[in-house]
Amino acid sequence: MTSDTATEAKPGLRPIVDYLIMPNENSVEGAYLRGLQCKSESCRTVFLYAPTRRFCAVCNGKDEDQFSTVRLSDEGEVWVYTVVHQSWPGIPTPFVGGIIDVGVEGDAEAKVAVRANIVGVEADPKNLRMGMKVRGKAAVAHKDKDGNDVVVWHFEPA
Amino acid sequence: MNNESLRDVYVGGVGMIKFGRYPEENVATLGAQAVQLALADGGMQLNDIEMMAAGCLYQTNMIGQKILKEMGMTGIPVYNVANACATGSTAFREAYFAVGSGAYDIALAVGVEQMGKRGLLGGITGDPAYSPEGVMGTGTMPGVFGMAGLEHSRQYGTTIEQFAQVSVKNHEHAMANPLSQYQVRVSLEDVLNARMVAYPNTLYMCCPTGDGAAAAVVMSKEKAKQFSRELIKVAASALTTDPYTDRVLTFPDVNTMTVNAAREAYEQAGVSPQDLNSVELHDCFATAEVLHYENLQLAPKGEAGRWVDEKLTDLAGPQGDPRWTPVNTSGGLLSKGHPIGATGVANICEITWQLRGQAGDRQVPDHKAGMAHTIGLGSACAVHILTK
Repeated sequence: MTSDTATEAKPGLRPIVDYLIMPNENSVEGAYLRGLQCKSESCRTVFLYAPTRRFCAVCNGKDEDQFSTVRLSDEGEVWVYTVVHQSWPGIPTPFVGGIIDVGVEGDAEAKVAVRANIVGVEADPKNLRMGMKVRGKAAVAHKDKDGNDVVVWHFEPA
Repeated sequence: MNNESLRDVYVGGVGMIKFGRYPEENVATLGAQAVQLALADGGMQLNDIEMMAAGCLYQTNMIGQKILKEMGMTGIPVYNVANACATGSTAFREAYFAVGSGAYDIALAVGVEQMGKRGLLGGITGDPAYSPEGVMGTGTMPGVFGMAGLEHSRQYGTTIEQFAQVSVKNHEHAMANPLSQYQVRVSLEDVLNARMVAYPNTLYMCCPTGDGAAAAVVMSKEKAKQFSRELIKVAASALTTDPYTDRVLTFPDVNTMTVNAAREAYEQAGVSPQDLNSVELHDCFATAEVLHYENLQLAPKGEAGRWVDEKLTDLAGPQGDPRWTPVNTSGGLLSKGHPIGATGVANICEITWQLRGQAGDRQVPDHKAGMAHTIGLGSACAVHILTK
């Protein structure tokens, strides 16, 4: 008997990072970013979700149940940005890359930084401002070689 | 780190090949040339070397041993070191510990890299269709250091022109360094009008890629007196990584580990920033150099832009001003080049030459103390202070 567990998955939507969660199999509707928040009262640090994170990188918390799964806010603020004109072969340029501070639902104090493109503006510094308010959403960026639609999270001026 | 339990360590010989592109060579043949230069400089033979630390980032397969296979298989212990852009500095630090501990009297550090035209300080792994690069921001070095520069602008109003002026300065310094990969004089307009790589860093504000090798022999005081014309002391060796800071797991913090390493190095050496006569710091991008003026305590917080305007780090700057500390007299990574594994050891070479008064037309007068700094994202930061 062959243990062929790798049954051909049908091409579909594939989020490009683990912390982009897609509740709908066939649509980007309802997609959101997920974080892990350390439960230690004195810590409460929020990390971008990774299914394999076991320990808190700030307080070294190592309980079996160290983290709460939290939903990150769609709203954010640009901390810094750059306009990339030269990237690795095969990466289309120019694009605006940013570091966006987003809030955490259920914790008004907490924030976490997200690396993402800023879209909806021409890729020119004159259109960008550190501190500008942005709103995030999921979108299909391109197809991968398995025929999947690659889903990313990017931000537009709010 | 407390270095008081270590015995004093001295630089006995240094050497580097001209950074450039050597497609006909390999890392072993490049490394062997640098080792031979360092041995000749120190007046010693390969047989005098008791231990070797070899740094190379992209080819980590027994590089030190391969170098010995090119020039003399003496059977000594070899450590191969990789630590991002601090690779060469980490190899130097291992040699420092080997002698400082008392286990060996003479140790060799060599750093080498053959990057060819590998762009952006390291390429993408895998297919772009599976990479977040370009669709979820950027992790390329020009992009990260572009953002790090704008963060400084955000906090202190530093201008693009101030960042660009660093490139003008370091290219000018390189005109007096025959070992620099590039000897090209550029104006502020040239830098600002060059092709944009990642805002605000234009082409001339990004270090080149290339090939190179550098070596340094360190030794006990007794051996240094035997071999060397002048005692150059390794007064401090600090190595740090990122502590957790806001955003660091998303946006590399290029500052905090440098602040920490510098503070520790000043303590170890018992010198103050004002005592330094020159600094070789990690100007992988023009933006980075400005940040490190403050991180290394050369300029007060927020005043790095003013340091540029007043030419306080320029060899041609106000020599009589007590704040004047020339930075990257070698031309820095921006012009001398940044063959990653070689960089940290090459910085040691430059400071050694400055201390000995052998830096030619780029010599800083009356040089008594210098600092060598490297950072690699991921992260590693090394700071060494050499004194005479």
